[in-house]
Amino acid sequence: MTDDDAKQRHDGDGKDEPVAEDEARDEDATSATSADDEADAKATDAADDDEPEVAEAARVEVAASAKAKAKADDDDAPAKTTDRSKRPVTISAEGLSKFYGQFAALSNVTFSVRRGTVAAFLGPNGAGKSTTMRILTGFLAPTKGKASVLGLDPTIAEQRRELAKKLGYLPESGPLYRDMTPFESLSFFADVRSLAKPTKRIEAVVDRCAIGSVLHKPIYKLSKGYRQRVGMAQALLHDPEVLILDEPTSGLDPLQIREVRELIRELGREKTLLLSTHILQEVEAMADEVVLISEGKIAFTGTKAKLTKDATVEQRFYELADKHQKEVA
Amino acid sequence: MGIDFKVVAAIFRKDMRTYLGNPTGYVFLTLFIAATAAAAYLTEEFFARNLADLATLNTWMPAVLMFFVPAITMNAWAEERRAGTDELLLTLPVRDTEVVLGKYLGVLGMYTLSLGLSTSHIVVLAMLGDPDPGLMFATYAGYWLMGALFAAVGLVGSMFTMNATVAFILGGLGCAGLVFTGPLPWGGGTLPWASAMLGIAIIGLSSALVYFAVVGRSQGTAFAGLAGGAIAAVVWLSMGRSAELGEPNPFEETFARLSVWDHFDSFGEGVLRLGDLVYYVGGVAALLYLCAFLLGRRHW
Repeated sequence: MTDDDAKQRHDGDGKDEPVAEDEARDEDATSATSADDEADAKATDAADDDEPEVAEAARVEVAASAKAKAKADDDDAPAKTTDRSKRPVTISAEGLSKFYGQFAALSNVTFSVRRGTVAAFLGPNGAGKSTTMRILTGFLAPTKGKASVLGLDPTIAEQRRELAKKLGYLPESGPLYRDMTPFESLSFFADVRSLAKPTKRIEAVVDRCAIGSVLHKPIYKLSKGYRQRVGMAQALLHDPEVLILDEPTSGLDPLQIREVRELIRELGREKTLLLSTHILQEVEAMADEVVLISEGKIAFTGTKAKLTKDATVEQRFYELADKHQKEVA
Repeated sequence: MGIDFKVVAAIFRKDMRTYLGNPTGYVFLTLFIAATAAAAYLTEEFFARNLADLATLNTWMPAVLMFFVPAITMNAWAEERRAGTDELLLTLPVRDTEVVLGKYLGVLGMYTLSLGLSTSHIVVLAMLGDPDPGLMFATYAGYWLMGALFAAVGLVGSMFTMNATVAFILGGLGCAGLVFTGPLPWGGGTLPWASAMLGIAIIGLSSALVYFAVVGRSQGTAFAGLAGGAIAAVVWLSMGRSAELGEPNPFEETFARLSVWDHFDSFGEGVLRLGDLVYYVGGVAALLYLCAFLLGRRHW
């Protein structure tokens, strides 16, 4: 996609966005920025500490306060964003690097996502978004660095297996078993996951992703939009705590994109979501936090409010990406 | 570390459904029965011998399986990789061993079905004469075990590539290594150099794996494999000099023992030997272990 295309898309899509809601969210986030920084510093201190007990104590404290805050959230919705910075970290990448021979697909990627956050992983094609997600899900091992999701290390086989029970993953371009029908496919995943009430869960995700009408058609006959939704249904099947979605809206038409965005916002209330995109509009529409990556390096991480303080996401994106490219050169 | 057989069964069922869910599966079944029937009956020898047994098929079966079994296995991993579904499968709460076993049982299930349908040959024999049930059982047990070993070879071949054609060729070459080390079905004796090639391949692959296990990174693994193979080749050629004095080359002799023929002949005579069973079961176990190892190191 060229820059012009991106811009057009941005402008065009923007019209059917629920602007008021977004603005409200942004304001919340802005007021939270200083608190965010403080908490980040605290967390970093704890992580740096040589004594794990101290770090653990800090984490417990954070978790406890998050719990108390979460309770308060119920009657006071706007407080939610302020509270986010104190929630426990569910997804963390520490100095992740991935080399293919001499080529560094990722170098020293560090970021973290807290519970109940929708984090957008933003970057141009080939920036290393999918590679990072593959590392977080345990499909690839990093050359260097440490990944951790829900406190589990995806490079250790048994921990990865535990993690997989609580993690929903939509790989890039939504691969599926083409000869199967969505129903057969979901039954297979329910089987492998040994779900307690498979029929009920399948019905729930079929309903949520609106694939009831194509349930018994072979997947290879389905349109791209339906396939993407079957992939989404697969990721949600076991009601996971954490969702990692690689370009969840790719190939969808504007109506479907709106549905997926609504779904993601809804899921983001209780779950942790990391979703990748190269469409700037997505960030405005869905994300609480932004991780901007360019050529395998982190260019920005923080709240959306911080990113958009004095410019639009789009301007910041080009600015950071350009600056980063110059640094690399 | 246990194995959850529910997971194995789910993967097995998925793969069987894939094989039988499209016309290719049925074309394969038909071709397999036709090819084995041709090998058994379309030869003067069958009628000249005037015996109700499958001796004629026995001489061809390894060569037939060498093509048919890799045709089943070629898609096992290659297709998952090409379609990207391996990324789904391997991020499920599954152990590598469970995935490998499920995949293997899927392939074995398809082969068992083909072989089961080809028992129609016994019906034909029963119409022409009076085949010995014990001999028929032993012969089919031999076919099944040989196919089971080839399936494991094919699965390893499919592991190395995302292209089904390449997977077929790799699997076929692996099986050929075990077949051509024995007497050729079309006559002309044995190919001693074939067992040497098998030996070089095995040593090369082993040294690559040992290098990787020791050093822990993929860089230089191919080089280690090539070096191991080259050393094996030098050993083979240096031993070849004594062959000029009329002695068999010990290198060739050693690896000729891995030939599938050595471990199949007795089945064709109605004898089940423990040593042969160990050969097949051990071979399958070693190859599946290799598969699980390769899968565990998918970050190569």
